[in-house]
Amino acid sequence: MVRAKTGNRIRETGSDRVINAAVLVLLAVLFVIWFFPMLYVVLASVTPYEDVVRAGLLILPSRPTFTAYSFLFSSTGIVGSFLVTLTVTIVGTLLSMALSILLAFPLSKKGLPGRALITKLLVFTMYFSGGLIPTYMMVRRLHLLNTIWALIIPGCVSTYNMLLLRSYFVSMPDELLEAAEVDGSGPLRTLVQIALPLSLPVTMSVMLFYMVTYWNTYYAYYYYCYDKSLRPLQVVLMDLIRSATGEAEADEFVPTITVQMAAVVFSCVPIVCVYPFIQKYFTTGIMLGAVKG
Amino acid sequence: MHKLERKNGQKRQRALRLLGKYWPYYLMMLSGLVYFALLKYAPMYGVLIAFKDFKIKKGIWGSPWVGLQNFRTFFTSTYCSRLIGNTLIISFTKLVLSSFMSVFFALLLNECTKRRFKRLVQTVSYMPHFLSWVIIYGIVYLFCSESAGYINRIVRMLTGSAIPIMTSNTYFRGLLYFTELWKNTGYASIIYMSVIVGIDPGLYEAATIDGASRWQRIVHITLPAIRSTFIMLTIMNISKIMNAGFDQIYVFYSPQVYQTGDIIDTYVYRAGLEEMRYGLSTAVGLFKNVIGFTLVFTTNRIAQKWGEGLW
Amino acid sequence: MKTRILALVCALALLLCALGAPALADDVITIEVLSDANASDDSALESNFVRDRFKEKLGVDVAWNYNPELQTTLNMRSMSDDLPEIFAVPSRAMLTELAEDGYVLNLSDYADQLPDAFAFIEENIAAGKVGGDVYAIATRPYAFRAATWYNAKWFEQCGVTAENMPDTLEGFLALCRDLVARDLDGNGQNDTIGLTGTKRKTLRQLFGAYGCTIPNKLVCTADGTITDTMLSPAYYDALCCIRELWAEGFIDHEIFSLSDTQAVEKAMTGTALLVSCDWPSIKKAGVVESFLALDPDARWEIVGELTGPTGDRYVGDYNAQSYQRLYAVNADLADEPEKLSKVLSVINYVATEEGLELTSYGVEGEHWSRGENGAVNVFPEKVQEINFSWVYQLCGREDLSYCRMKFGEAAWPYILATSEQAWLDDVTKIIDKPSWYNATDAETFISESVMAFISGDAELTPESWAAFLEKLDTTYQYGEFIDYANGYYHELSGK
Repeated sequence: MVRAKTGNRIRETGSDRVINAAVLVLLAVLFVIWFFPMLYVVLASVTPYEDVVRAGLLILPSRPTFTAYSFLFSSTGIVGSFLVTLTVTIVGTLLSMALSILLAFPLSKKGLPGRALITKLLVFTMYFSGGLIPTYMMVRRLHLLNTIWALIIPGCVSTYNMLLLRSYFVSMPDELLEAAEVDGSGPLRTLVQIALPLSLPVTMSVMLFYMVTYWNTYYAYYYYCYDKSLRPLQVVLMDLIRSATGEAEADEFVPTITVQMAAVVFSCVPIVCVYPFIQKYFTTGIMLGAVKG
Repeated sequence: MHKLERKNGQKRQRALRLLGKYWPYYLMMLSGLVYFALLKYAPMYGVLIAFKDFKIKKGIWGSPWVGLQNFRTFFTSTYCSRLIGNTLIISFTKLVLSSFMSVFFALLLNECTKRRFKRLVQTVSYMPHFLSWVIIYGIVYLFCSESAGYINRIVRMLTGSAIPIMTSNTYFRGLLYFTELWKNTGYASIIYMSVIVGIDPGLYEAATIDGASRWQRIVHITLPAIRSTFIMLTIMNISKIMNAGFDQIYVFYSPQVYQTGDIIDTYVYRAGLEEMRYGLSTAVGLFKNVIGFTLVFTTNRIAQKWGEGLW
Repeated sequence: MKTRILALVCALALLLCALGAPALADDVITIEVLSDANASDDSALESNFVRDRFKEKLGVDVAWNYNPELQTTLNMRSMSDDLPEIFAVPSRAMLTELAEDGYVLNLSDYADQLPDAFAFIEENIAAGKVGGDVYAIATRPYAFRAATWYNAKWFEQCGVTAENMPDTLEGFLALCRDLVARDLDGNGQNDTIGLTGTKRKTLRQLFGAYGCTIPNKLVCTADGTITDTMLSPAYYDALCCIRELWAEGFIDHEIFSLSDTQAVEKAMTGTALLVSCDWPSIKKAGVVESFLALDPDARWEIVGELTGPTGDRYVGDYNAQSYQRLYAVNADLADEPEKLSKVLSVINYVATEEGLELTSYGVEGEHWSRGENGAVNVFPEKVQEINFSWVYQLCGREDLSYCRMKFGEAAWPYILATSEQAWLDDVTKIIDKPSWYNATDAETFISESVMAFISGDAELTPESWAAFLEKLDTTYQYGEFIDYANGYYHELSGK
């Protein structure tokens, strides 16, 4: 049931109450199923190794310890890699969003000549690509090898995300945009001042998708770079975990499960914290009264 | 002659008019199109060049033919039909289940009246997406392990023996589906949530006043609103049907469940380890992509009949 | 006249100086090594004593590039003509491909520049050969490390010590079954497992007692024939024994689901009586420490050789003739003989006595001192400092003495003991698969079928076993493959 912004309360019927209760129960069950393993991950990262092994899933943090985290931070590259990933994520997301929106909006205009053809060409690239080697050679030719741009540019526009944006623009009522044009607004202005603000939920979602992809940058580093200072966060974390569990050579052994959990928490926390900000934009009534009649 | 010239003239005029009207849009798309040209299409062309140069420089003829040879190897494999079968079954089931679940969950959230609780559940729902399959496997092991898993502890108390959930063909696929839903429902529902949130609340009001029940409101307002997004996502997901989830299956599988769980990608991976040439994964990748693209076209055609579709 | 002679002499002197100067100060060239060997402290590879020594002695600055995605990276860089000077190759198949396509240097042509290297890897040099010539340095494999471990604490509680430990498979299994029946971890449940481990190799000692090893392995017998132990008559008996053990729950049903650490953890917590793993998984200093908290008075010992009904007592298989890594050289260097000789000098140097000592123990005087009869004594406080040096062992090392130094005297008895156990010579890695043989299909069929026999999903009778072997031969051409392997091996090793 949705409340109108004017504050009029629509009376709850008996069956409404039953449905509400059912909804709450189902959501509560889902909450438990999702929450407790996540709790386990966090608790396992701060519990001594032997307790983790013995306790199974139900860890009680009786004696918290941060050895797993200090092991992570003992790696010389971790702070730098965090900054690298942060930069890549911020710059990359902005770039990706700009390009995607600038492609999605025109392609949402039904009258645009060549619209079907361009869309087909873009969708084609989702299935067929030259492959890693020619892409590598292109990156090389563009002099992007071993630069931070090599971590951003090769994957920066996702046809999938662009289509999500386009689909929302298509669903926006034509009268809205035409009204703006009648008032003398050019296409770019219409996009920025009208279409974007109204499509915030979808735009924010796509932005989140891009951010997550950039945050997880891993393979791109090994394909295009070799400079240690360009290592993204996931690379450093994976190297750490691999080195601690790999060949007999690794002189140190830090219990893998606690370190793995600490690595997960450390790499997830920033991105998980972003979500509440995005949730802000998921407010109902954004389209309220936008189109009269 | 005269009439033809006039027709061409009209055509040109119309084209110019269109260009005049739409040029700002083309300009907007320019940088995006440049990206696609450089980083998607140029490398495609580069494949041919690479092979040509490669032959000239090293004087070897083999490459294109090696690819075909690998193709044949895969298709004459005794396991070919099983692999394709497993891939399609697992993929299709996952598609149906997750489409349903993500829409269902979005609807559930939307119908929730307690705002704080709704936000809490939503935040928690999308966290599992960030766990890698290796970690999820570790957690699943704690539940499903035959010796000490929680589920089996209970089962053993009730029946005296344990269920080999992770190592038995009977349960393996179910395990895959459940864990996939667990991991991705929340994240997948985000896009539906964002669409639902944009629905004009006035519509709900009006419907209620007209006497629509809760259920009717969902069916006639909420669902239609997500219809085009749903169809679009389904089209794209159907085209990915040859990808049954390598990352997940690789972590969970073992020879005991090859029968129901071995998919094309896991086989190709083992082939890479068995030291077959690099060409096999490329050849198989190409095959999967051809299928995928064909599916996009076909499903899009069907969708167009309903007024939807990617183009 | 005098001034002119003076001027001439000065000019000559200057000329001599100019000519002489370069000869005194060699240019230091920088080369890149691409490898999947990484030190746990990656900053150590930026600047360290090994690198300094290479610069001083050979005039080469070795930049180490760690990359775990070797196959893809090599493909990308080879196609764009951008290969490093030295690079690790992940498999023989890739090496063969690269060699045939002309990306890798034929080292046999330069054998005179690599005398020490070739001598050091003489036992397994064939592993790096393609078509009779050496195309990659096959680093010396590590010593044999596998073993089955038991907790002496429990065995002693039941009156069994190392002296009266049964040394036949039958006797040992009887003892273990007895111990399993008593609830050793004291949790009140009859859930103790007998043997745990990771994947099929858990079963290697059980197979070994019958003279066999895990399926789908090419083994070189004493008389030089290549065969797969699956085809030996004792295999059926071995399977029956294992099947029985599986059915009664003695063998952990989850061996395929466990990681190495999980398996050892099971043993440590008393969930399993025996664990099959390499000595590093259980005896490295850091490991021992972390497990101490789980079971403070555990004493994990090696079971050792167990004689089976056939009189055999193998503990596992070992790739003595294979390689730890393959290091190849960029073929383009053939056009730059000076640079090439420097590159080769690095490879050769790490195989000389001096180089071995450097990459294994560090700098003499700083990290170690020479004791009587030439023994190397590493200063205990310096062991941590030389932690990373193993990555530079491009030809391998003297594994036993190296491990003794690195892992300490506490681990040494086990290192030595595991290496002295009997093993079967596994040559699977060095036999290239012919194109008519579908190795993946065969492997899938074998894994699935044998697993079904062991777990009871398929009936194990002499008939069903024979049917399996029959199908293996006809549908998967395994017999033909074995014949091919024999021919291939004899050519490769010249034996």
